[in-house]
Amino acid sequence: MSAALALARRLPLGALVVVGLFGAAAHAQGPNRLWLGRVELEGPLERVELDCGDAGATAIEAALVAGERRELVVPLPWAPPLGVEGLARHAPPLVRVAPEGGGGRARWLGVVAGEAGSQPDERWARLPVGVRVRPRPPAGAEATGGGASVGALLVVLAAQIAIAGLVRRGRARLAISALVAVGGGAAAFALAARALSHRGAPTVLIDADLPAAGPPTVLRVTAATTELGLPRREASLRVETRPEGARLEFTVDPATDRWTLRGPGEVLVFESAPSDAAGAALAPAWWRDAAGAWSGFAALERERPGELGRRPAAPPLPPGEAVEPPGWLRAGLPPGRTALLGRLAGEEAWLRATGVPAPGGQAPGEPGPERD
Amino acid sequence: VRPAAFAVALALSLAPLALERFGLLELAGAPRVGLALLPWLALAGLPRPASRELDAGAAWLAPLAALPLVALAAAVDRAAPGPAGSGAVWTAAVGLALVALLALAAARGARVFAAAWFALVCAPTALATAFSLSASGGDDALGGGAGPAVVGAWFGAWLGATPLVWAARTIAGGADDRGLGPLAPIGVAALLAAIALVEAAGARRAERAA
Repeated sequence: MSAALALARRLPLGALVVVGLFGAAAHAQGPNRLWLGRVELEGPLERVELDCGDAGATAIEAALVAGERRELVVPLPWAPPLGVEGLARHAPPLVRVAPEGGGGRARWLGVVAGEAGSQPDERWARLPVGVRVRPRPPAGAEATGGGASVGALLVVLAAQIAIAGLVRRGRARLAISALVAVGGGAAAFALAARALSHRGAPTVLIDADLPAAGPPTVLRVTAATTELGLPRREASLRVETRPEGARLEFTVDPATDRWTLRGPGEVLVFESAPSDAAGAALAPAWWRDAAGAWSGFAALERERPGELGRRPAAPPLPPGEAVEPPGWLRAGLPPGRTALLGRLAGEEAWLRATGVPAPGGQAPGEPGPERD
Repeated sequence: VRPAAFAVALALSLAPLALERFGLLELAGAPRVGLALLPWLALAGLPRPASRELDAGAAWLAPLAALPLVALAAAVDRAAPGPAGSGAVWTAAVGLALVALLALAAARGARVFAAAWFALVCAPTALATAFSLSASGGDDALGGGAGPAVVGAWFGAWLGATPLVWAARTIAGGADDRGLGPLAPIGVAALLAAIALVEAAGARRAERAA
């Protein structure tokens, strides 16, 4: 028993904490939650729900009069384990109509199939792997530095040091340390709650990759905890949820042809974007050269708005004045390639572009110097 | 509680929030409350050399020091979307109660408590980690791998009732989805406290008789 007790005292519990911590940090990106199906509606109908079980549901706000018939393409929040390959054998959604018994009908016609790329996931799978696995942006205030404020952390640290000093010095000091603990906890809670009250607002990231040869890949990624729209349905490639596998609710308004989605946690929408989506100016901006050296800029203005083909020329800030780019924005950048990061001036959006040539360098797609 | 152990627990519990603040760690959907609690749960229950009188300072150090940090973690989690956000304050309250019970037990208990702590806290935590790592190939440490499906219902319940595994599972986001939720670790901590109190009472009786 004494050997067991000695072993128990020596077990590296700190190591368990570290293992747990990194296990939690390495979160998966999860399955695509955007799949397309067809339904046929026949009025009178006010609302149709396609129940997809634990994955969620799609509500169709269909105001159809008696005898009116429509066929719609609708989004479904499925997470088929085999992706496109298993889609044909996926269990159909449970169709419910309202008002019940009113004579209206809704019929599931099957998933959208036929042409290559008819499902968003097929178009997503064609993107370069390096772009598909990039770290996702967080929703809301985490975009400018996540978690607890420095002030709240300092309050906690000061309280803990005071408690450690007071708690062993008699019962009176023990009561004081209890007050310090409660007061410190309340102050830290209030400071953090106040600083994070605006969290969850949409974060938009223009995520671009410019290969040395071939067309650029430009994505618009939106992360939010609020309701999100899918305004450019044909450009929509992927929807993810955090936590992975969370229930997702789509709403379809056939009158305006508007799709919206909402989840209990964060929802991320990936869309293909035009190559001029990168705005006219970045402020602030950061540049990483191919050797991995970073430079910071107060602002970078392009000659042509949205041009991604080359980094605008500007003198970098002195090292002491430049601020660091947000951790989520610079995380996972491919080594050995240039990177241009920044916040799009005048917009609530960020840019992360890799493979952008330096000023004076050869832009992707440009003819190289002629050789004899 | 030795100062070095206290300093290590303080650093480990504060590190995730501090690293996240400075952009060095992305916690995404992981509950910070679980991360903040884990070192204090480990420290609070650690068996100590038996002493004749209750050291009130040692008994209260871990719960009091954990309180401000766990409150801060709960505030950050509460602002986060999803299940971690909605249950953050409740998880924090349960976790602090566990820390207090374990600290009380460790301050009162001696050899019997140490054996019980090894059987109910330390060994299941080590086994849960081993099962979790082997079930997931190392990707999901202390997460969902160590469940009844892997090791049998009674064995899984024993592992899941351990306060440390409960806290680790809150990090993995599944604490309240299985079994008795927080009731099981509270039961284990209460049992340990009861063992320690009975052991302390027996020691006092033996001392008086002598």
